[in-house]
Amino acid sequence: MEQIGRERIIEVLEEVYREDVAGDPEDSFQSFLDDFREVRDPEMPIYWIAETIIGAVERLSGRQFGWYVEALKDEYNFTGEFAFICVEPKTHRCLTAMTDDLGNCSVSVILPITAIDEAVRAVQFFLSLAVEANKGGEM
Amino acid sequence: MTEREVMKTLQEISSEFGIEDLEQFIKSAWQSADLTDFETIAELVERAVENFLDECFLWIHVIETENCEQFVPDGWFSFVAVHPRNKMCLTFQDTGPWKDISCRVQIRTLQDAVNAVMTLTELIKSNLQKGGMDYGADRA
Repeated sequence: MEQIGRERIIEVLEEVYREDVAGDPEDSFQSFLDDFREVRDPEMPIYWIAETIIGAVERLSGRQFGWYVEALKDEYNFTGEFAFICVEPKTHRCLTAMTDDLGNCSVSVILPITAIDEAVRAVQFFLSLAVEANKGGEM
Repeated sequence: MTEREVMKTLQEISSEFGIEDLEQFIKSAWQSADLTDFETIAELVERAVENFLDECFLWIHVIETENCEQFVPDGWFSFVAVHPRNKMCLTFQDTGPWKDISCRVQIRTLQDAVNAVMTLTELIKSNLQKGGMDYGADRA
């Protein structure tokens, strides 16, 4: 998979958000993120952010994965961080499972997504996992 | 693995947690909607599954809530298990249109907990076998 640039990722994030998530051709993912960051309204459909990221990853990689997502909260409100678990559906390999230098294992990755640059970094991160999964064969 | 064996295992593990009457513990957790007790129930289920498969896994469990502002549990749990060595998701289910990576169970009674252990054990065992890891041989 060739390196995908920032502009292309933003373009796909906006497409996915408008077409598959918000369903409103006038809406924009960037403005949704700005609203969330400024207002932090607990009634906002916070999972739209994660759905947009996932949709963009799957559209750009041309593949579907198994996902689990949890929007993290502090005592009162959503923090803007999301815990993601991503599984490759053919091998069932958990792509987000990691072991650190000390041998500690974790299954999920926690990513902050409150601005468009963080959203781009999240998409790039998952695309890099998809590339690694491809190298492992069975794809 | 029979229901009686699962019940016995759950009771043995719960006694290690200092729980004398597991049936009453689950009932009172449900009635008081105590999130900490629900965490304990999830851990008991995970430990029992590991006991039957004689392996340890990486777990994530989600205690679902009916009210996200006050975290009142609604009795539903989602479990995700990952094999620590090959990172294979052992709760993956490919049966529906969605690629479901978790196993969702309702636990409001001791019998529900027994059923949850049996469901998870069967699912994980099946995924271990599909992944070419016979869980019996892999232990040797």
